[in-house]
Amino acid sequence: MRIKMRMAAALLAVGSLVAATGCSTGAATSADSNVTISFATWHWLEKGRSDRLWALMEKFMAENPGITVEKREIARKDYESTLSTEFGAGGGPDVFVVPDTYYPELSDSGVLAPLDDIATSLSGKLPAAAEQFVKDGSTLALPYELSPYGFFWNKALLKEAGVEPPTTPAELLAAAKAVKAKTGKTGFAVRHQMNEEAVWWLDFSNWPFGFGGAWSNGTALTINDAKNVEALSWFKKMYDSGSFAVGDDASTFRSKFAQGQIAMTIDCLTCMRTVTGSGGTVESTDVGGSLLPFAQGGGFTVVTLGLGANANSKNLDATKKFVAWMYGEEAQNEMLDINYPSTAGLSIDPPASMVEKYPWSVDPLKNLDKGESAVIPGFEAKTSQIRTIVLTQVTKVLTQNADPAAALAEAQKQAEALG
Amino acid sequence: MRQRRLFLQSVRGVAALAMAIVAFFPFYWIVNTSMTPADELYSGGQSVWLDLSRAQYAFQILTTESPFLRWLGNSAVVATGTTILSVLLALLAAYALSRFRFAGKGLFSFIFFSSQMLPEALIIVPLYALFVSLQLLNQPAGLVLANTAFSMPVAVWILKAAIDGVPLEIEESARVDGCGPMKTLRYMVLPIIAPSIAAAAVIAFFDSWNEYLFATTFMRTKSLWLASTGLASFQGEYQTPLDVVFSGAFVFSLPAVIFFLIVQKRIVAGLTAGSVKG
Amino acid sequence: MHNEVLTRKQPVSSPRRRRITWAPYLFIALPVLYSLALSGLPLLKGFQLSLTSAKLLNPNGGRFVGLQNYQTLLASPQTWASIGVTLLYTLLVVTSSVLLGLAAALLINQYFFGRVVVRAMLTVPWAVPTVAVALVFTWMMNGGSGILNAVTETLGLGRHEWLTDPTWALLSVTVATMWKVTPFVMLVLLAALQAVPIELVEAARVDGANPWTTFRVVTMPAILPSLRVVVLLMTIWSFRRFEIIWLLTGGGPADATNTIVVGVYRTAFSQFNLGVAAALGMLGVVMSLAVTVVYAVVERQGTER
Repeated sequence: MRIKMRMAAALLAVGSLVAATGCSTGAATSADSNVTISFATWHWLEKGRSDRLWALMEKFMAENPGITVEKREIARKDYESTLSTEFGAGGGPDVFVVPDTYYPELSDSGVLAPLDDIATSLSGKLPAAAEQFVKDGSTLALPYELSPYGFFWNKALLKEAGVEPPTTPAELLAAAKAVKAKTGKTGFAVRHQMNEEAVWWLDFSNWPFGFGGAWSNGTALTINDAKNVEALSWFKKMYDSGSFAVGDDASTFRSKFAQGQIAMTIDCLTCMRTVTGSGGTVESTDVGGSLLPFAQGGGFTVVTLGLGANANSKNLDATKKFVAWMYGEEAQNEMLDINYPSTAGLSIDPPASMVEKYPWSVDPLKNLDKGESAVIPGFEAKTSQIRTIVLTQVTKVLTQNADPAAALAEAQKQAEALG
Repeated sequence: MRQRRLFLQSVRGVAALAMAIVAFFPFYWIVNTSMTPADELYSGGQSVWLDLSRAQYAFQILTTESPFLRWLGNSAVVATGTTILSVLLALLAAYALSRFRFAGKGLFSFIFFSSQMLPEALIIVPLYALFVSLQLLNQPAGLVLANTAFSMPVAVWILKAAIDGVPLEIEESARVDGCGPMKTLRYMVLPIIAPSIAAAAVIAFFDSWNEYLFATTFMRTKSLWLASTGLASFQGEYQTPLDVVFSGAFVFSLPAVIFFLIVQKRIVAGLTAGSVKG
Repeated sequence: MHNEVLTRKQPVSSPRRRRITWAPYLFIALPVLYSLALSGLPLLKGFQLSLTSAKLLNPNGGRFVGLQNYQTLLASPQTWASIGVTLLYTLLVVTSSVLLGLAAALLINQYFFGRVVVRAMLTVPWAVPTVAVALVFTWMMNGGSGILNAVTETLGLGRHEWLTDPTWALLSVTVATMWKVTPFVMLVLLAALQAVPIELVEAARVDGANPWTTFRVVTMPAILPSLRVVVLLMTIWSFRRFEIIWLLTGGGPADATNTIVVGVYRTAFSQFNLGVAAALGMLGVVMSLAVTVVYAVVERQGTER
């Protein structure tokens, strides 16, 4: 106790020192009648999207004079760790985007306030993906954005290499090699490194899903399923093709794609919208897109982002009011426009102008029902641990030439041992 | 003999120069990358030589939307605060450890030293909880407190060595004149160990200027971020071209490098002060 | 203990008794309380967490599980692998930075033309912030467009995936770390060298001793205390170094750079297992403690001799 007192004294001294230099800026203070709610997402850091999202917030504030919305900007890679630390300490933003891979952790810890009233009023309009945010009959988050993955190519580069857009793994490999041989550019790029672990998991799940595999059957893990092994073997072939952007993280290979240095990639649709709008030489119309060139009828990853409210929020009423407003028709239409080619929270058909502007988005969006979540069914809360195990084994295959079947068998064994 | 010495000198010079070039190269490469257009970087066409006609691009980060200058300012505030607090606390501790024999001295030394063993990742969660209850999140002051816990012990080490080197007689004379320990420290000891204080201060300053994990966890509002957090936020994000990111790295490093080049001679003098006295 | 080092030559038993016995406590109270509050308390809390099943999202909601986290960790080959990686990384960083730092300090300590410039260039790395270091090393070591591969290819050493190949990753991380920390070693040793009485060196030279003998007999003993401190600091700092490894490899590829501290962070912040992470962190602290104790014993023997 005495230590704490001393601490407080020391803190006070330093605090006043800093305050005197005019550097102390606490939480925004608000007038008595006014409440401030903080809205956390990494989208605040994305050019283009953030301005339009903020314009939407201003509209909300204009309609609800008693409530001020405050941005909480967190970089994507620090998002879960930052929020977890804050929630763990009893704080955290009032409203926040909930990645599906993070949801199990959140719903287990009681951080999410039930949004049943809002969900009921939206019944019939919510997409199927809303189901995953329901726990024990209670809706803990609403779908905010559904972000599917697709396969994309630089039309000019494939033409220069004299190949058609591939539709099978063998064609993909041949096309990558042809690009390297004919143009000297890199054929193919996807994430493949542990320092992007959380997002690499989303990327990598495209391979098993695309080959018709899965991480579990809902009750038992199927990591070493033959289809997963086949998928990993092809991943390895691409990695070794001499035409794979080895060592490039997503920001690097996306920039290279935008500069016309990479021919093909598997990426999320929204990412491709940003890449082609980033001021590089490759524009939206220079890009072709389709479902993944793996097995016929194979799936792909869909990342579902939810919108959740903090159960410990001091302004829960205002927060819920805000969430409800976000699912109004006006806000949803605007969100669709902002998010496209991701969908907004509610099922609305995309406007034709958008489809025209981003032609490569058509195929994946039409087949949204084939999309799968990278959260492992039946093992939701263990996904992050299993992810580490699987990706570590995948790295061994890629870099140390471990046998794909043996590696996935080892991963299966380790994951089962988690109990 | 003279010739031989000249020869030896030049051999030494060449060896040192080779080392220096290798040591300097990565910093040079930061500058070089910031001045190379993005499409050249991505197509593997980065030249080893600087294109000085593009020198202004080294600072292009300042023309982007990101509040980089502000982040630098925040870093400077936190680093300055950390430096002042570390040196003040360290002076008190160092004086006690150097000039007095008392029960618990070894234990106190150990307490200071042991903080150097704690991984930040281990204590960041408890520290975070503490800061929440004290309302220190998102406050530069909180970051100053956290950083000081790690940089103060190093300052204690440097300053204690320096005070050890101050002849006791000086203090005795002050005492005869009726000065208490605090006054003796202030008017007699401080001026003599000024170079060491400078050394300790610079080291504390750099520790804080560099720090990333605490800064990223404790500062939440974008406008309050430090430059380390801001720069890292570009990594893994794909809308900022690489040359702009490296311009950020350059602008973030530059003040530290310049400052350091100015004071480095003093640092050596300050570190030497403790060991001079044989 | 470590504080004593630079002044070993001072008579340890110099009469310093004061009549006012409360004075030292008055001086040291604030710094000690400060350290206790900001490192001691969190450490205790960390220890307490290590005995629970706490999750990051609910640090106080963990069940008490006794030593179970430690048992699980010690039974896992991954833990032992990461202890191995930590030791290897520490050994590589300490040896390379101390040897290079010593060599640089010896060079700089003598006059030659252009010394000021060389000294400036040698110390620059220390001033470059870690995040910038990680950025530039990632770029230089990029498998496709990195300059390092251009150099090694020209030298006939082939191209390598410096950061994504488990064979090279730890070495690459070591090189980046070494680059960053060597100037600190150099400065401390340079300070020690400048305190070596020049007369002693001259005397040895007049006596006809060759440079190596001079170094061994005169210089080395004089800088040994500083050298010891620097080795200890480098060791302990390497044990707990996080940022540069995290930013360069995130502990990968295939756990090749997964040091204990990176493991702590990954377990706590990407798997949310706070209890297990705390236990792993405590293992790291125990390792550092062991090194410090060994150091203290060695130093005491050295002093007694």
